[in-house]
Amino acid sequence: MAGADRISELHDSILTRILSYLTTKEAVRTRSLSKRWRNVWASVPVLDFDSADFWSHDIPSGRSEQIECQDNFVKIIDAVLASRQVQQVDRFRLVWKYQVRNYPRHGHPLRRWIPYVVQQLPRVLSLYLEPLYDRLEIPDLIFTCSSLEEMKLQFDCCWLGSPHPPLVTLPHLRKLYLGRFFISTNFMDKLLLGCPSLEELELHACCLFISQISCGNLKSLVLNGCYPTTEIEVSIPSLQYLKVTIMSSQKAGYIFKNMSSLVKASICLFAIHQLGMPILNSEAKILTGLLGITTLDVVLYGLRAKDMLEHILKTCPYFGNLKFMHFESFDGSMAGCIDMLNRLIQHSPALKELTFYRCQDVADDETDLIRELRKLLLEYGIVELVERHQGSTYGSLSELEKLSNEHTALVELIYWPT
Amino acid sequence: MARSSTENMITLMSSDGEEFMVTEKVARECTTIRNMLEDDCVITNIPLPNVTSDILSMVIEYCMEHVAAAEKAAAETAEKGSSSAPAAAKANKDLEEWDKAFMNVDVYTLCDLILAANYLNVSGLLDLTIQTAANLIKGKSPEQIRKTFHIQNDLSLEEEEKIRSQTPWAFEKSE
Repeated sequence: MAGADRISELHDSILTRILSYLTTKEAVRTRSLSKRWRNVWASVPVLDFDSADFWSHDIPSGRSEQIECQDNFVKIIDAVLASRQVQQVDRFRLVWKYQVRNYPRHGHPLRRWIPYVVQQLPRVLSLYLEPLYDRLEIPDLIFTCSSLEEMKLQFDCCWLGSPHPPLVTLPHLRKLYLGRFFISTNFMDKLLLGCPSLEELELHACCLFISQISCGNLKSLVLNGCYPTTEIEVSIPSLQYLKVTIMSSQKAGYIFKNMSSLVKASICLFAIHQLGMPILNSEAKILTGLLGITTLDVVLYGLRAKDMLEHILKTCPYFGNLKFMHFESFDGSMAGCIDMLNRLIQHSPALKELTFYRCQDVADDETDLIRELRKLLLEYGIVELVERHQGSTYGSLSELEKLSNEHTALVELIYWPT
Repeated sequence: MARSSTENMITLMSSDGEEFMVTEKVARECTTIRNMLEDDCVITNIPLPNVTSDILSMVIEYCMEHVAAAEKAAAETAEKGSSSAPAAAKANKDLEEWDKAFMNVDVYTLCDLILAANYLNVSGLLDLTIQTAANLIKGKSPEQIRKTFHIQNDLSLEEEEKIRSQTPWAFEKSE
């Protein structure tokens, strides 16, 4: 069989599935392989455009060249949409960074592409746009695309008001990610009412003008680097997983109530303080709403994060079901936390396993902490201490730094609006 | 392979006449076989005229590994009352590593596995093999893709030039 071309013998339905894993640029490239491959790409139910494949994001060039380059990008997308042979888009992904051109109101190419995509009943829609000068309006059509199961929207603009679609009807939407949004009560209410199947919600570096999140069937909620403008009551009886960051610059926090199904919680404490930024105290009632959990992750970032932990543990409740506790620090911020850890362990009678994630290149002080902890755990007898060097809640230190920067930009925007 | 005596055994016969005895549970990983068993529950001997013995033994190996991993996870949950998240993450990672090593095959075997996974309807294996094939295309020039999969270029120079000139952007290297 050596030398035989087996792949070209595969059925079209399999070849299009293979090409579905590639970006549209790479799928189109296969046109020139042989006659067999000339038209396969046109039936791939995936459209995936990333500006990084068309121009380099790092190398600054003249504005006019950038505009030419990006106009070309728009033309390419238009041409691809025009020459497809199937009337089906399963997944549409668009990443468009450093958009330099100003489009007239309603003149943004998204206004053409979104209706095209929505017509073809996509299951997954993912948009990441970064217009540098413009204010971009999100086409309302997105919020009534009833075939959607997953949606990820991030629009990094100088300023973006809360979207106000007249109607939200996404009956099959299971996963929703919103990045860098301003979220008003009206928008949140519409979303939660309009997405009855929603299971996973992630809000990333959003400014929250809401005072409650309550909904019926959400299973997973991630509040990552968000800024609540007032105290938010979160009441979701169906919730199983919660990940929440508390930033030192937050002046209002979250209160969790009626979380009777909650199994796992990840709490990330970010102590960021930069010049010119107010340092506010975060709310600390967070633990009392999480009593039933069996797994708790605590991530500390920034040297003052341990002060935040101390603040939170002032009202340390009893975690009757807590079996697995996991601590992470990337920058040595856990050193000196032994008393607090001791208190948490004492309040968790069912505890079986304590894991500790450590970044290998930092945190010498933590070697001492681990030694002390091991001694402490010996006294309790049952608890097992495990040290890990991989599989952290956040991928890496740079991921934490990025989130911290995004949050800082958000806070600056609120305090010094342009 | 360890098996309990109460478990039903099924014989799968490859296109070249070789017989493989597997537990019903392993056989059920193949949706095609599961459907046959549900239609006719006394069936014990299944001929698979589209799958050679080399490939069938690999498919069985994959199914056995994944059944074993699922059983281990279930046992752990039952024993500890709830699964330890770190332990579950490690088990997932181990299985991923196993999958990755399992995919260390030449492109002919890969294509045969895709056909077999498609025919037997083993969704996990089909996803794995298709993704592996996609990874072999990713980031390569057309010439490199042809070389990888031994694709004969039957386009004339003019035809190829025409294709390239229609979508020149697809042939520019990403920066």
